[in-house]
Amino acid sequence: MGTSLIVFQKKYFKALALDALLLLCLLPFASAQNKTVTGKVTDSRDGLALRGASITVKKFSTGTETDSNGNFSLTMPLAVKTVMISATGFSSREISVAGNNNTNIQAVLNFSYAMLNEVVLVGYGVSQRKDITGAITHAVPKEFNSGVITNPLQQIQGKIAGLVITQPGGDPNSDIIVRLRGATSIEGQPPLLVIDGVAIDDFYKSITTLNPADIESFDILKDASAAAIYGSRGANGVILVATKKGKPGKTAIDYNGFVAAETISKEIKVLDAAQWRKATGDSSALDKHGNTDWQKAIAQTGISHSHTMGISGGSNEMNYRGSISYTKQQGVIINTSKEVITARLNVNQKSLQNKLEINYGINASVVNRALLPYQSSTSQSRNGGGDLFFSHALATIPVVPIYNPDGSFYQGSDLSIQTPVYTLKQKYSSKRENFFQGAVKADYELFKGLKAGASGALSRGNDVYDFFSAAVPGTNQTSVAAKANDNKQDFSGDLHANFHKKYGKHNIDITGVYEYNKFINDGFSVLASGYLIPELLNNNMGAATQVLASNIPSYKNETRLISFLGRAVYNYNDQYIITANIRRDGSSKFGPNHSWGNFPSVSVAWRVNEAFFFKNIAWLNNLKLRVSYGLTGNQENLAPYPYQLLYGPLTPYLYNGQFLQSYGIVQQDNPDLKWEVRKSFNLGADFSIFNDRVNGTIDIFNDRTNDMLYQYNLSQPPFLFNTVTANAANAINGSVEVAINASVIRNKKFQWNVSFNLATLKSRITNLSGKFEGAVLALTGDEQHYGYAQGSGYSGAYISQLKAGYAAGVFWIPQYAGLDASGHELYKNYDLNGKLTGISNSYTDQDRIFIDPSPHFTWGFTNTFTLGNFDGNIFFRGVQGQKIFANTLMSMGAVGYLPGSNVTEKALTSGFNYQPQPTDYWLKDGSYTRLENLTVGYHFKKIRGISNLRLYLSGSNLFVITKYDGIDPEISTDGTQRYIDNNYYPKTRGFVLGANLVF
Amino acid sequence: MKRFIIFFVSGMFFLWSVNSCTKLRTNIYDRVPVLNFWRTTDEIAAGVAPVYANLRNGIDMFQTYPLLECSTDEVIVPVRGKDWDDRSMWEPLWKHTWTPAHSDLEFFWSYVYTGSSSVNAILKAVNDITPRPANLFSIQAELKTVRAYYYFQALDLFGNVPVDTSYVLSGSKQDTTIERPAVFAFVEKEIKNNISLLSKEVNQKTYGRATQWFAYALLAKLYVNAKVYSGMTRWTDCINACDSVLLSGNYMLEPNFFDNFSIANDKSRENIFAIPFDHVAGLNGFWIQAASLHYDSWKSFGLDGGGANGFCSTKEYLDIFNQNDIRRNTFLVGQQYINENQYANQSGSSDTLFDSDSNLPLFFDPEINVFSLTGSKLDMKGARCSKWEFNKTGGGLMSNDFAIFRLADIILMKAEAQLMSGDMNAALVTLNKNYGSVSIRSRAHMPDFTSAEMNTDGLLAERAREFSWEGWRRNDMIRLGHFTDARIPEKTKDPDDHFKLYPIPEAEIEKNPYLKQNPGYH
Repeated sequence: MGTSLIVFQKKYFKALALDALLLLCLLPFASAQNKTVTGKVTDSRDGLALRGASITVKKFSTGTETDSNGNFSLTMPLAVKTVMISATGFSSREISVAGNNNTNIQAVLNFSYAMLNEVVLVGYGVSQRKDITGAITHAVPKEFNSGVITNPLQQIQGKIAGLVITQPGGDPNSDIIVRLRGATSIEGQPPLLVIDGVAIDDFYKSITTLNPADIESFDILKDASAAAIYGSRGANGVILVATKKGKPGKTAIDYNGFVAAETISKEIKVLDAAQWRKATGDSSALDKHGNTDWQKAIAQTGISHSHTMGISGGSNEMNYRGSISYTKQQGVIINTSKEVITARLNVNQKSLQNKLEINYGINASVVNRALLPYQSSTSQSRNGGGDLFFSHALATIPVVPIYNPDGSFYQGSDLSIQTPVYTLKQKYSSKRENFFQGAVKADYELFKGLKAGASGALSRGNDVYDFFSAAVPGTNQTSVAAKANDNKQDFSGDLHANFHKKYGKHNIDITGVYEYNKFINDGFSVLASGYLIPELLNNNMGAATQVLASNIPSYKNETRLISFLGRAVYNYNDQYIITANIRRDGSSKFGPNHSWGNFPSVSVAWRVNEAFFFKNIAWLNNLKLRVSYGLTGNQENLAPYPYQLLYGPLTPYLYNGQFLQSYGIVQQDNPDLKWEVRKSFNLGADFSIFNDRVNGTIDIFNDRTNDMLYQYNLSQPPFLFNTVTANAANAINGSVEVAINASVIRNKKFQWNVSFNLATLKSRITNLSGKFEGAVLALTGDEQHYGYAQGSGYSGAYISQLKAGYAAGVFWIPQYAGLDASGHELYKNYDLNGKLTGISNSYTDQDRIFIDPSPHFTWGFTNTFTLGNFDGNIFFRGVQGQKIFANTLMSMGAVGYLPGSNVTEKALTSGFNYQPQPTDYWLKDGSYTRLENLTVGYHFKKIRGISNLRLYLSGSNLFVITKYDGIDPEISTDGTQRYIDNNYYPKTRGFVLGANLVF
Repeated sequence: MKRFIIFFVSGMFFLWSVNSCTKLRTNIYDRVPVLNFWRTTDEIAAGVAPVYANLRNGIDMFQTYPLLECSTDEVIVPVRGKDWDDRSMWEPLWKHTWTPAHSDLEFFWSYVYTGSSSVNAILKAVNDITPRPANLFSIQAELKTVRAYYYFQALDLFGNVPVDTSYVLSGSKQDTTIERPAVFAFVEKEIKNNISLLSKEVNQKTYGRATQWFAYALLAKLYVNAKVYSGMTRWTDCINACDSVLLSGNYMLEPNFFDNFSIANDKSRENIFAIPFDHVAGLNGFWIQAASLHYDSWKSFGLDGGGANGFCSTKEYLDIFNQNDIRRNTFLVGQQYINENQYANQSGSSDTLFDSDSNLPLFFDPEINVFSLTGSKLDMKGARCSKWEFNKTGGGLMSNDFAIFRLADIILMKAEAQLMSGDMNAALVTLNKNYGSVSIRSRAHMPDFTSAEMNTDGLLAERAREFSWEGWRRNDMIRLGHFTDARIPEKTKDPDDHFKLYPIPEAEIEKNPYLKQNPGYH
């Protein structure tokens, strides 16, 4: 590695020699003259023992932790004069231990409500909360939700302003939707997930395989300045996750577990058998004399349990934590479930007088999913699930029985009926996901103030999807088997250096990083039909009688991302702090002339309370003003090779009596493709008042995204294709985010804390057109028509749009104006100028109006209580002002659907005889307030052999206050079907009994 | 500090200077950046194939076919209660109330110009081959003739369209609208310039490809419509083009009419040009049986896929057919039966097929009096198409080839041209003559065409009987009259003639402001 390697080696040996010398000098001294300091650390609030507080001795690599009774004992050289006692959430204290005797000290630590000294991860380093200049939110386990938690992000759902986490439906195999400060690209992407310093390629995969009980903290980097350190992939914000680490001292064994029962939280009121018979009069032909509530028939009480065992410990030179967990979650729909097994090991080793620090992390997981019929991916249920199963189930008429008297499935006299229960039990649809990741990071202190290091991580994911659908004897349904195998192989590595120096009141901290990422994806799938022996499932696919070449696709692709970045932090007297970032990012997805982009950012913080004129204001404990501006680049949603002219197989053709494969150009190349840029401006304030009893954060941001990457329409002729991936559209996102925490009551016996957060979000596409090779780029036709009403008779029924001047997916629908005498719908009609001209039985595009469904604000409100050994938590969250298109209610909303399909109770009185059209009649207020979590816990103290035991009872989603009459107003807010409620897996209500145990 | 700067700067400089640390080019695994191709006959065939494969998109039942048939009296897709109420799609086509936003317009436009632009791209690739292939000129001629067919369709449906024969990778070229007569002239010129270089062979090798005979058939179609396209009649040219095909001796009428529509219809000696389909080989996109058949019809025919119960024909249309006309078997009407024992119901007592929604006997009733059907028999309305032999496997996807030009069309075009040039007797001779062992009428078990029938209405009716559902009805009705007529159910007479041209799709005008909308649309 040329010159720098030599420099590096020289320093290394020099440092090594110096260390060895020091060691030689110290060792005899240390072993000869020691003293032992013992003591107890207590919490200022209740006077109770504080477990896990760390006791360190400056300049000597020794330290320990308090046990469950708050006691510690530490041997140290006689020369030591002070020890530092610190604990997360508490102000640190330096206590004198001068003298040559063994000492016993009592330390009371003050709880810091503002958490100013809390360590916050900032990417390639840590900072203290008081020194942060960007918009970063830190969250630790004591703030987490409890309940049926199988995904770590459920723990902070609704807790962080600006981080909108949506769980559409209650499918255990559904991805949750995570958006930080709105969508960057038109489609939007989740934030970048960085686990223990390793950026992860696949957000949904990695979040599922992360065990909630292993989480030490979350740090949410919101603005461009904070996210800049992960810039090439951080345009959607960054979530930094730290997993639990071992601490020096006694080996600790901890166990976290719960058992839970979940049920469907709400059903749609559809006709029961008696109502159906009454409504249909003499439709006896379809009456199979059953009496079935199909919503109940497909439901079950989902029993879940989760167990995590962690072992941690170590010495000052090496500590470790290993954990293994097992979670099984049954869905509330029969034959759906998820099983997750994870193992994680973190080892941290220090050597060479603490100059060399090495971290190892190994993480392996297996996920086994039992999916809904025809649901092949976890993202499918975000878009309404596979094959509209729930729509079919709801519409199945209640007079069809589930079983024949002999216990076999009822299929009708001609075997043509497949009930929802039959489908759930007879289709085999499952997925296995294996994930392995190994990471190592090494840092060496070359000389005082300068640390350099390298890290590397390799991860492999492998998903196997299995499907089998048996032939139905006597019908035209042949058996179909499928298997798909997808592999991901990611390598990421970096070289980093950090320099820190203090010159009087001037503090300088400089970080430089080189990052290299390589992603390789490959896979194949097979689908064939005509199997005679259903017992073989898809395990012997060669027995097929029918295979199409197009049903055995395979693929492989590769992308690379390389970045150079620098960050400088200047801190003047803890009063003024400036952070500047510059990064140069390269992506293989762009052509040679546009691979690299430069993305600078700067942020400034002023700790106003440190200024002389505020020093005397007693009630103001802290006030910090922040401002930041920065650019981040984005390319996450792009296909691997969009800029290139590529040839590949097209469709087959007939030539000379043979079917052959044709080849040709597969995409419109765009050599000018470049980075999408998000310019983000953030103004923020952090404050803490009244003796730290109230603290909070306010952020206002205004982001502009330019050159948005999307598949745009291209005029044809002259171009070969009518779409091209290009940079064109612009959008703005703006918002106010407020978070306030208050300690309402704090005394020895009883504490009551509240925290409240609220965030607005205004998104708007400002422009959707551009130029490509001199021609016009636009979104037209299908690309412009975004969301569609679903169901039979609704094909091509577009109801939302991508439109400049509005948020992506704005509804564009006709206005309902009642029914005429014959029961036909009437609509408002407008002229070309948008003037109301009257009402009639028909509508055209001219009569459609725009309605933005996005909420005015989202909020969360947490109350936590402590009373003696009891603790309690009540957490509400809600969304205000969102609109939902009630597709399910619409497609079951007319009596005309009887007798063949079931309808809602409302359809009997609503007056709709004919198929309802997708008008604003079905656009409903989706505001809601949810009691997300109610938890009561009890700490058993002083049990022999157990240092801490907490048992808790928790209820999830206990009630929802909403005007919305569909199943639940929490539905997908991304993708083309955003805010359209159709075919969702039912939402659940859960009760949990859990234990946290430390030996 | 200084040491740090030296360390940092030298480190960064080193990384930047080492190529592998900044190398972003990645391997491409499942595509190739350069097609080293065009060396052998097979490779040339594979390289030329995309322009033919795209033709399959021209008869997609939801995207392109509706523009050819659903705006005529031949095919109707009525609303059936909850089903097929896709208002923006079917109703405007039947009632002639479509607007430039109709989604099928964009599909058809894209189909035509994807085809013609593929020709442009492949022509460029072919021209760049070194060494030059021996048959370069015939490859070029074949490609240009297929392109002429695409432009013929644009001419027929949209009329005034841009014409572009170059493949652009860059440059700020915007295509402008060319008036319909000029588009007509372009198509004519392209065919005539290339016709002599095309293959005269009629065999397995040229099946599904542009031969001289395809070119003559296309010319005949162009000339028979010359008045509509250019304002000038070209009857003599039409007769000559027809004769070139008729006198070639390559084609004859199949004695059995329905052999032209069997799954093995590639054996038909009547097909001049057909688009090959095969659901097993993945040549897909033809699914009339699924679009038209009732949900329960699979029980009648032992199919592995149900019908979607959409496309059908009305009583008024069926009345064009004499009861004895064998071509009336194009349709399924009346009571339906379970024909195959393996699909008999469990009781086995009756072969009558029941509609499983209403549990009433399934009886196809062609009488459609309202566009939005109601009542318990709404699923049974309309005559169903059984012209093409049903494919029992494939889930509704068909393996019959779809003929664009059959010899019967050449015969009827020639007769029409003769009639219009004033020679009624010659027209009758042409029409009633045997080609092979049968005439058009004799194989239909119908008496010869009479002088009383020999007028535009008579020819239009005969064309309906012969070519129903084959994609020519709109073209025929515009040329021979009655396209704008009132129809049962619920279609009133068009206020003017502007619906005889489809509008330029709204989306295309948004993308290319130089395009001009057709008269009557805005």
